[in-house]
Amino acid sequence: MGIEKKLLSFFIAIVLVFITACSSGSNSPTNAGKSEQGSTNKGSDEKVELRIMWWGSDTRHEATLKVIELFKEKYPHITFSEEYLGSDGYWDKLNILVAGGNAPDIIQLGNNYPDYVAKDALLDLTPYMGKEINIDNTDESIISSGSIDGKLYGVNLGSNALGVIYNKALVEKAGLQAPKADWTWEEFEAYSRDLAAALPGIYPMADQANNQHALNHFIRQKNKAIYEDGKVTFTQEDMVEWFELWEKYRSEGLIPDAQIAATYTETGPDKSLIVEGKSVMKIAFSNQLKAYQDLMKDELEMVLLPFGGEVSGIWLQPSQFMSVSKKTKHAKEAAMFLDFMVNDPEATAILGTDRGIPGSSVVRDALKVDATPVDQKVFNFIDLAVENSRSMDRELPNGGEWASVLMNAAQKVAFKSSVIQEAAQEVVDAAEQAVKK
Amino acid sequence: MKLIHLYNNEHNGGTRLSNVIVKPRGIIPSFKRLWKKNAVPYLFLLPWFLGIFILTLGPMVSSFYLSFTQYNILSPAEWVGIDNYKKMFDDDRFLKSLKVTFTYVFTSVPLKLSCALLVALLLNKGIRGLSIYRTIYYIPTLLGGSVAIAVLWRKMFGLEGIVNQFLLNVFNIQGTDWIANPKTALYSIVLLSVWQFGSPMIIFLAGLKQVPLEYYEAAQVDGANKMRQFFTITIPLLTPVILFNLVMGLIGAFQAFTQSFIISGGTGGPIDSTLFYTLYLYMKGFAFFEMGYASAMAWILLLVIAIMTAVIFGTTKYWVNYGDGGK
Repeated sequence: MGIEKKLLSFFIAIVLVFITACSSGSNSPTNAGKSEQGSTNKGSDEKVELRIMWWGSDTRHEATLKVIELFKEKYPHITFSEEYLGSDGYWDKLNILVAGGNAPDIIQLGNNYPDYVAKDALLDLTPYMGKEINIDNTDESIISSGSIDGKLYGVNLGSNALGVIYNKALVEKAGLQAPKADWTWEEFEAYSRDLAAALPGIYPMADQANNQHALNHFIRQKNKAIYEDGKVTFTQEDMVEWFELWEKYRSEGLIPDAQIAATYTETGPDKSLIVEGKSVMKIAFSNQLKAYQDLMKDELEMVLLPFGGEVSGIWLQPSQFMSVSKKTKHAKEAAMFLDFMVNDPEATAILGTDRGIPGSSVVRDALKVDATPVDQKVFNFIDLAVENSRSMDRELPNGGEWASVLMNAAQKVAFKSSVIQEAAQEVVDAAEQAVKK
Repeated sequence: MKLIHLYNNEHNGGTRLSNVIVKPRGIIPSFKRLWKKNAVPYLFLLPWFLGIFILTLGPMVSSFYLSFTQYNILSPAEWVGIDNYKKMFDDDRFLKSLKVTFTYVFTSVPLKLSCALLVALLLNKGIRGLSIYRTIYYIPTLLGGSVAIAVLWRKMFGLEGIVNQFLLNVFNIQGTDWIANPKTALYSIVLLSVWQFGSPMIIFLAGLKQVPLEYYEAAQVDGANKMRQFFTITIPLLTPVILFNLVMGLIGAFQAFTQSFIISGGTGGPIDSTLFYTLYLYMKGFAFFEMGYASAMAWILLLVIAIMTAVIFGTTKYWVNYGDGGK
């Protein structure tokens, strides 16, 4: 029965190859990360290893790794173990690490960081503020964006602000001046009418009734919030007003009809009228200006959203935070690294604006000097936004489904398959359900 | 030579195996014996066993458990009994997704099968270069499920897409944006599915080749025209193949996902008109992090498919002709 034995060993060989292939596959990213680590330098202090995790593009990976190298040169007793990946799979991996009590010391988070505070996973950084972490040149509203109930859980790595992007060439063609920096909703409407009259076939504005951030701005101007102190504070009447506003624009031809709006949902540059030169204006975050500009020849400019209501609706939207795990044994060193990322001149120059516009005014001024024309516009826009901003509200927990319901409700209104009152109620209900979850 | 010898041995062993089963001499010795005799084949089957236990049954068991919990990945799953199942019937979007999916299944499957049968009949005429045509018509089946085709479809049926240009230039009709119009969006996806008729067509073609030519000759002698021949010879003899294609098509259609995901940009829009069941399930699980609810939805889908399949099999005695007289 020699053949059986041969077959058996052949089979075992295949299985072994299979198993080793699998296991080495899953190990390789960590190995790659480890090989980046510098050799263990001798220092007077005790040796410390920090685990850090972030998501992003290759540009961000390269820049962040460079900054870590710089930091290690300065503090030879600290070594790093980096884990970095694209945003796909980042949350799965992080959630598993956190759930298993094995979270990295330094974690990059988005505006979802309150979810991790609720899980008691993050360290209160307040004791390090003003000591390890320098906050001299940073605006209070930027610092407080990472705090809950007076405790700081994340250092803001950069901010963006919502505004109106407009096509400068089309405005000039229409023979109009640039929009005023402090325009109101009424002035916005009048301006749109002038554009419509001068530019037949081109929509003055995109349909943004489905844009949760634009809605947020509108609600904030009423001194309310989509979500505040654990409650939904906007009402059905607010939503009716919002939908009626856009319905009016639609009926006057200031925004496209339902069908065009369903084709161009304005959720990204690839689904946007402005890129095709078919609309003059659209609402977007400042960090997206470059993405839109890259796709078109006409020059784009950016202006604040219209003013109105009782208070300013403008806020600075933090792009990402660096947080420290509650389980870390090296909180001080972690705090030192966070400071390095947001204040060190060399490090901030390497990181640039990839994570949004940095919070420190000194860093901003330094970056402005070498900024590209588009970045220059973004910097100027953010300066204006900082002056006019009011501290942001907490993001609606489990907000993904709510955003999807808003999109759907706005479409129902546009296609007239639902009356405004009903659609408005749906949006409020969905927000309340998201909070309850 | 040795291998043949081994095979023969195994072959003879077959009778011995049945002996073991007929006259059980205790389960353990027979298992041992089975193992001794068949260790190698079982080991070769091992990858398949691993696959079904680790990649299919394991996740199925855990999804069944999760369907009774509230689970957002971050916090541990929390037992909620049958809440997820109860919630579904108050969930308007869930009901809408059921409606969309049933509409899709009941339009796309019959159309696709008719198309497949029609082309199979044409190809069965004994034309030259059959294999070339067969390949050409099969290509959409290979491509149709892909993201690239869904993107292409989106462009073709868009406002300025090739479909509208054709309508405008040939018939002077200004078309709508087929994808963005809530009335037509679903049917543009149905069309995409019908276009992929290649796989049922190949099976129909094989079925048609099985129909003995003598039957047609006899019918011709009796004066039956082509139409009559088709309905009294071709269709009855083809019913087992139709059954197979129907069941497979139905199961596939219930699980359709990619096309609506890409064409609607992952939203199921406009106004949820392309919110397929699986797309809503995906949104619930991976966009809104309600894994418990999504798991419950998956089990309901399984149940629906099982019922539909059972109903079809239940009716076979009325319309499927197995040709062996044994009804």
